[in-house]
Order: sequence, then structure tokens, then C-alpha cells
Amino acid sequence: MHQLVVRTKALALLLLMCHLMVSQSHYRFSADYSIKEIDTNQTQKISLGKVYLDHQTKFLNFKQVFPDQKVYSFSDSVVIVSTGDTSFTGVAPKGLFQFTIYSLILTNQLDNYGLDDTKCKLINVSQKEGKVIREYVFLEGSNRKMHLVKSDQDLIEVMLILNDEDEVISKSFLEEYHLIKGLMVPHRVVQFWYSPSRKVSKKISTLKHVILDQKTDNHHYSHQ
Amino acid sequence: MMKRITAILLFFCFNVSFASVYSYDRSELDLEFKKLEQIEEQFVKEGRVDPLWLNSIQSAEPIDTQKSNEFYFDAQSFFWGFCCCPVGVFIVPFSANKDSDQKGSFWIGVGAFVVLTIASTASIYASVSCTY
Repeated sequence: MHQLVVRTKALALLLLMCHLMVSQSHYRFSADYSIKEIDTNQTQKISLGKVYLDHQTKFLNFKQVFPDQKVYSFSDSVVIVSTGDTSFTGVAPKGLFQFTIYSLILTNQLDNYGLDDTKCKLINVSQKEGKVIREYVFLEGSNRKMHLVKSDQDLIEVMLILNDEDEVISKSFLEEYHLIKGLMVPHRVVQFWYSPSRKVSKKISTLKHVILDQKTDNHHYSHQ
Repeated sequence: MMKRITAILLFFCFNVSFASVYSYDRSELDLEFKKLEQIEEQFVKEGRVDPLWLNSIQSAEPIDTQKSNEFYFDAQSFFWGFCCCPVGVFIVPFSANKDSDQKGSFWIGVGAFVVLTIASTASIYASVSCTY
């Protein structure tokens, strides 16, 4: 009888440890970023710096070092942009922490771009040249559609957003995935946006030196 | 024979459209971004950038906002505003599916209708008062 109790306790402990190991989620993301953009007016834009995200406190910090020193601090629904001695406060984009790529990477939801928790409906799944194409329709606000093209490793390679007339309004290509602490992190994202007059804006975002769950440098993950 | 040729043509057309929708020309894009790439490389290596380059670039926003500032004129919305404003107001401005450019086009249509109505009424009134 005693042995049975001991065995049951040991099994329960083992199950608890397994559960803790599986459910352990990452909470912090930091990396060197570069954003290069050519907009619809052919204006060339660039910014280089470091990005810090704390998923628990819902805080996202961009510390830009080039072309000028600037800090973008996003928390909840507010953004504070600080440039030297001046700063201004604005409204952060809706759903920022739900859909920003850093958040999706940390919460391991990048495989379907976090669409499980949204009011999107999967309307079709097809296969072409070894890629799986999942088609979603937004159920709220507009009849926009989203196509997710996934590789044979179940990684998103392409994300298309189409308007209610089935015209492509944006394309995103997630490339150069690297495995970091059990998470697949895309290090290059190429995006195209199409204006109603079909002018195109292009953007290349790259990440380097990705660090997950940084325990030091807490000041980077909060307002200074 | 013609059916086979048509089938082959359709097959290639479909494949080309699939490739163009779900892919892009990386070498062409690299060529377009060559200057920005050089700027990044120089900054990473030397911590500075040629001042001549600095004049021709702007700061990129880290989080995506509105990508295009250009106004797109939507003729259909304009005609709803111009020809049938009372019905059009439920189809365009009150519709969640219409973007700000379409709503703007509608109100331009309403404005054009109001201006034309006032101008024509004034000219009729003026001609009538001149007659008497």
C-alpha cells in the first residue's frame, strides 16, 4: 500500500514536471533590427536599432540609433516617441501585442499568424507545389481575405491580404528561419503594400542577434 | 489539337499567376534596395554614414501605419453622392466595408451636387428676375 502511494506521488510529480516543461512559455524578445523601405513616392527610408518586447508586461520598445536617436515605447494602447529632450504620446495601433511578429514568435503562434484567437474563418485549404495554402475570411468589419502559404515544415512563408474584390493589398514573405530556444524565428521579412491605384510600397525588415528571455537589462523592457 | 494547345496554355498561365502572386523577384528587389543596403553596411562597420547619403533618406517607422497618403478617387462612390445622396449615404459612409477614400469621394459627390444645385438655382432665379 505504502509503495503504491509513493509510486502515485512520483508519477504525479513526473507529470507535473512534464507539464511545466511543456507549458513553459517565453516572455522576452530582443534583437538588433533594420528596416529598409521604399514607399509609393519612391522615398527611401531606413532605421536601425534594437527591439525589446516583454510579453508579460505588454511592453514593446524600439531603440533606434540610425538615422537619428529615437525611442518608440508601446504599452497597452499608448505609444511614446522620445527624441532627445522632446517626446510625444500617441495611440498605438489596435491589436499591436496580439499581431506584432515578435509577440507571435514568443507565444508560438506564428504558425497561423495568431488567427485562432480571432474572428476569422478558414474557408479553404489547398496544396500547390508542396506548399499548403490556407484561405481565411475576416468575419468582422470587412470581407477581406487572408492566404497563408506554409512550407512542408509548417512554417509560414507567404501571407497575402486581399480586399473584398479579391485584389491583393499586401504580401508578406517570412524568410531565413532559425531555431532559437525551440522557437522558429524568421530573420528576414519582405513586405509589399498596394495602394488603391496599385502603386507599391516595399519594406525589408531583418533581425540579428536574437535573444529570448533576457533576465538582465530590465530597463530596456520598461519606460526609462 | 487545339484543345491540347489551349490546355497547355491555361496550365502555364495558371502556374505563372500562382508564382507571381506567391513570390517575388529577389534579385530585382536587392537591386532596388542596394543603396539602403550599403548605408546599413557602412553604419554597422564604421558607426557613421556618408553625409551625402543622409540627405536622401528618411527615418522608417518600426510599426506599420497607413502606408499611402495619396487620395484614391472612387467614381462609384462619387456618383452615389452626386446622383442619389439619400440612398448613397447608407451604401457608402455608413458601410463598414468602404474605406476613407471611398467615403471622401462620396462627400465630394455630395458637395458637387450642392454647388451645382445652388449655381443653377441662382442662374434660373437671376434670369427670371431679369425677365420681369
